[in-house]
Amino acid sequence: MTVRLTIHEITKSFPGVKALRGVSMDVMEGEVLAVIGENGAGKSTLMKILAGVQPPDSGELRWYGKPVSFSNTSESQACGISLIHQELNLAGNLSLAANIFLGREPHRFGWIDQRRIHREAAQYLEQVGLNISTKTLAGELSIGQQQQVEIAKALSCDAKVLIMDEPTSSLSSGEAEKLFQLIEQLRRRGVSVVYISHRLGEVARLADRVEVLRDGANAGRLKKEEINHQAMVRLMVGRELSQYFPHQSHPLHAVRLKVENLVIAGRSSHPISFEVRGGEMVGMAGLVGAGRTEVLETLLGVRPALAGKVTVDGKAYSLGNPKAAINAGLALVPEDRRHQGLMTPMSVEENLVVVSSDQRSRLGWLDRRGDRNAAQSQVEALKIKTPHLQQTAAFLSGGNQQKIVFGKWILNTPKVLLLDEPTRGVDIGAKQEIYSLMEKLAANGVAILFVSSEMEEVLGMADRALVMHEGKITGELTRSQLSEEAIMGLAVGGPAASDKVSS
Amino acid sequence: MNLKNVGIFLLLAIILLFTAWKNPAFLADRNLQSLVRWTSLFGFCSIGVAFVIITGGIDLSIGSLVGLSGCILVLMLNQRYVPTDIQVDVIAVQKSTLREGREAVQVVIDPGEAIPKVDDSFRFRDMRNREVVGTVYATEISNNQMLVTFREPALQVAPQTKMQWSKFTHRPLPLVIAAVMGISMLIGLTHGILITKYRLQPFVVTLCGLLIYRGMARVLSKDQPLGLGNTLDGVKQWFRGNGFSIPVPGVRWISEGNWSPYMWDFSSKAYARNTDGRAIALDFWQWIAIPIPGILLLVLAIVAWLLLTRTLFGRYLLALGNNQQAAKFSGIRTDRMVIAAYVICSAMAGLSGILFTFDLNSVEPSSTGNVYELYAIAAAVLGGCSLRGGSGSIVGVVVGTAVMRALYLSIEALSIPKPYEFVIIGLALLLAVLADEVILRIVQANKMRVQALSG
Repeated sequence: MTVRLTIHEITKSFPGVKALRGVSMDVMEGEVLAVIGENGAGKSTLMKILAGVQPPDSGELRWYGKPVSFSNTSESQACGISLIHQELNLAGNLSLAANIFLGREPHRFGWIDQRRIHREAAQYLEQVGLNISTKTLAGELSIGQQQQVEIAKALSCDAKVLIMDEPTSSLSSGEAEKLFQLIEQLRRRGVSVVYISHRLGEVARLADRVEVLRDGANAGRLKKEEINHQAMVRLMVGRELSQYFPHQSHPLHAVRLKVENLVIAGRSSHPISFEVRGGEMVGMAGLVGAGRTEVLETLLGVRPALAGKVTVDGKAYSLGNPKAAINAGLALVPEDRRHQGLMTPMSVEENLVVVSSDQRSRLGWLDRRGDRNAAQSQVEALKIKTPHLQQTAAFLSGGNQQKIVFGKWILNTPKVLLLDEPTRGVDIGAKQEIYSLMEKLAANGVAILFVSSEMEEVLGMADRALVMHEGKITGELTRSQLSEEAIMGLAVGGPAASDKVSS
Repeated sequence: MNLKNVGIFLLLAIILLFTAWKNPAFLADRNLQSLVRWTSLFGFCSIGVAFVIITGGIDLSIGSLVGLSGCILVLMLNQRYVPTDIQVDVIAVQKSTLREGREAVQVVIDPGEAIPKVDDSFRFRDMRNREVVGTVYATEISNNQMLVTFREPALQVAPQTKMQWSKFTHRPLPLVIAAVMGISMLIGLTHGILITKYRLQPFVVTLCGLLIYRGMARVLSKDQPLGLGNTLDGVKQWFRGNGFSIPVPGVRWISEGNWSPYMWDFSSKAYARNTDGRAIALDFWQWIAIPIPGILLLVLAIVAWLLLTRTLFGRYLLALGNNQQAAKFSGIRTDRMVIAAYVICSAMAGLSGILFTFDLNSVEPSSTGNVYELYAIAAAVLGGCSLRGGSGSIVGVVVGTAVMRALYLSIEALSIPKPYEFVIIGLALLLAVLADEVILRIVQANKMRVQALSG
């Protein structure tokens, strides 16, 4: 196989961090190269340099041995490199065809050649296995479909190297499966796929080779036959992870959260009922779009409920009012950290105390010393890595940001902790810390309900799992019944599947 | 104090010193006092709009509301004369002892049952048998007789005339002020509810407000200027007066010494000398009296600053301005906070309308307050408020207002023709915002370089 793209001794610094210190790697024709590493290892920076978003401080990119440099994304695209961001970048109110040709519309005398863009867009959509009208608005598609459109867009640029940053992070398992097949197809057609992911299972399955980054430098590379979970983790963390999931069963207390016939606005009107006991960790599994996030949001009151009754420790609280839910003892670590969990331009301290400072305040006046001490206590307890309390939250890594979101709720001493994809976009080290934290809270009698699309996480952490399908709870699995097959069977909604489990 | 606040202080200093370089008298105490006075009058609106801008909103209706509240103030006062059937006899007419001026008239009357007060009026027939009304400027009692000085000069009152007494009256001021503030806050409440509960865009809601309130002011006043005349003289006098004085360093050396510590004679272009031939030394410190509006603004600015930095309300306001969704997810009642911000903003505009009316003694329904919302927004932006919401400092906003007023005054002091006024202010604003952005980038780049070297 021929080397298509060479990355040679690339370095890049940002204020406060040396993101890359001389990273080198080769990308071959027609291979899937996985680039893995903890958050902050430099993967994203490297990819941004490849895509021409940022220039390197030093080092060189070579395209078939010839040095190249890109000062913007269109130059890298012209060369044949396309980056598909973790956050998809489609214009929701434009048609698929318009999105695919955005900025490169074929035109005649300033008029966009509509017929041509729709014809060609249809071809590219077909290549990625998306059989829908090119006139559909991008905003109407599911996340998985939007990603397919992004890939179609890359193909329309005649991409030879396709960089995918955490492509499955918001996909359901079915959608992810489709994506893997598509990647396989692309590889067979000679496209090089650079695949960045935290999900080592996917990497083991897809990758021809693995490059591991640690602290902005090459930490090692694995050939196809060397790729396995243990080896990858060892290279990423630089040490053996003795125990990935620290799960222990705790003595269960009385029922803390009781949900009776809850009907959620905007979903099909199946009433939902379940219970979570003190000290219990209940996982909520299901495909993306099954309505799990909506359940959590309704419980916290940020989404209105049409009917139903929810009690915490036997006391009902009024639905549709976050303040009432929080006063009742609920807490929600949301899925979308940057938009729902944090005020990123504000300081670590302000973020940590935002929920609890009203308890310390007197007649509306802030207890500034109390707030500072509370924030400091959480920074220490959760080992949040920040130079000082006044640091802007945006500058922290994903794992540390997630710890802040946990910390702000812990300061409010919650009775019921709702977690929505608690380890998304968090590196392995921080993931483990979050798992231990969940353990500790459960040991203290907190009822934990967590939504996760990572099968391993549900299998590893849950005392019990609720599986949802299209807004309905299709089954409940005890720890002894938990298995990947059982969850998947319920997640796709077959009642037969649950029979199989019990047999 | 953050970097941005230092920047805006520097900008103010640059404007003042540049103008003083061309015209040293710019820093004379009178001028500085008028800078403080105008800054204060405009500062209320700026502080108000800062709260709204912090939520990520905007209020375009401020100027119209200033005009409307001024009109409502005057109309609600309902200044009027109530005729009585009491008649008094004029015993004698003489030159006033209480009022300067050759033609100031004083009549000596036998008051009988009447107890005339300042601003009351007397109706009588003058020497040419015309019906005339005289308003009372001052009264004095001596030997069971009352001496009444008229405001109108050269009244031709004949002795032995009978005068009919009319009482002057208006609604009590505290009541009227409370009503005007109440109406303003109700308007802010409406803005807030439309923006939060009905999800209308702040720009649109307050743009409609801009039109509606200006129109209402013109309808209510029948498009006629409304004046206070001599009503509330006491309050107005107090309001136009000064509170305490503060020492300001160096300005006297500039304004009187032409940038030297010795008195300069601007007409002869030489140092002024004593009789013994020595140059006259000037004090380094100049005491500047702070006008009452300045003290009011100071009090309000401190309250606003405390509200923003020391209370839950301020913390929540900044939080939701940064990320409304995350604030909602943290249990903050965002709608209430936003509504409160609009109520504060409109209340400040209403208050400003009252104070401008006291200051100018009249309201022009079609023009009083025009474009004040833009001055306020400009001052807030200069002072470090981001129109995206989530940031802002009260100190910055007040100094930002001072910068706007200083630009105005310096255009006057430099005798730049009026038509250039807006051009210069616009350009200066643009440059200030641009410089802010450029300096920020240089600072960041430097930081990056330092860290790259050390890292």
